[in-house]
Amino acid sequence: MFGEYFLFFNILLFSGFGVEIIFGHKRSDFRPYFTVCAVNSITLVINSIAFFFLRDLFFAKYALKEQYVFLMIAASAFFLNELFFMLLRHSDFNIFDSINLVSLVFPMQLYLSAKSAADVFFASSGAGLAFVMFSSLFFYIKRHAEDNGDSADDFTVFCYEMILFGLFSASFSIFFRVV
Amino acid sequence: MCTIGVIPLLMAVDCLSSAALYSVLYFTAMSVSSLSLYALKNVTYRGKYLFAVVAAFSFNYFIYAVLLAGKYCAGGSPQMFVFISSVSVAGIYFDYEFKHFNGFLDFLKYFFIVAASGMAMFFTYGFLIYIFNDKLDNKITFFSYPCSAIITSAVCALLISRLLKKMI
Repeated sequence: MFGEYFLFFNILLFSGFGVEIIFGHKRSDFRPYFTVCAVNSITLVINSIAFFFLRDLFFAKYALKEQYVFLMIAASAFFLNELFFMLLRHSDFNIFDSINLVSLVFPMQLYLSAKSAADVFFASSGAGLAFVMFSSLFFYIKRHAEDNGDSADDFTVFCYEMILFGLFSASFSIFFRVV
Repeated sequence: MCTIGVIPLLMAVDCLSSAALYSVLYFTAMSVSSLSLYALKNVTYRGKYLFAVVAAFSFNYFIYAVLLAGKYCAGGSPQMFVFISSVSVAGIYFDYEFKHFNGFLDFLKYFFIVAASGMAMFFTYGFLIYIFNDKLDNKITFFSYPCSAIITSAVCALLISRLLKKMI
């Protein structure tokens, strides 16, 4: 069950209906939501690459165990997210914006399993891009479904539901193809 | 929030004992995170969430390393899931709810409802795997794929919410 692509799938799917709910909670505007997703994706890529290089240069030399690396990744994810939020003058904060599964767990997974720097770069970039894309799509569809839920006819809502099921299907197809 | 926090961990469960292990880790992370944040509820700096995760990880790693590791069937890649379990979505989310609670007892009531719901999901999933894997001779089944965890948690969440509406 736990394949190499498990977390790719998890991030794809989780970004769709999990993180979207968390990040989108009480947010009606798309811009702050998109900023949070983009910042977390960038942090994911930076953390993955930085800790992979540190593994061979520093951690292996001083025999630093994984649990300490995890704590460092958590601190790094938090401070990088906060730094980007400050640079972008982000003000609409939610509790999961700075520390969450996306920018914390995926770099750890790559730290434990990746073999080369190119692998880390492509895997983290793919996951980051997929995260932003799926989160944005789900936010857009959910908001339009909510807007049209009261005013539009049942057929419009049905169409939105079909699109959502299509996205689910795509996520499952990707998973079954790679695993 | 309870369901969202359970799903990533549910994917690691592959038998009853791993269900027990992850429900213990889930409960510990949630307790430590929410209690840390309750103690820091007047602090506005967002660094308190990092503190909650670090505190939860310390307890989870201790449980995993000293009490449970190697003694039981621990599911797929247990070390990775100890890291995942430290980011307790339900525990951190309690920080948002503190202002709605009417004192510590009210917090405890909601805390135990969320904890019991999460643990019920773990044991339901573990029990389903236990029943069906035996009958199908451990071949790759529906429960070999993460979609089964998502569907099980969604069904459990629906049933639990209906039950709670009737009870409370």
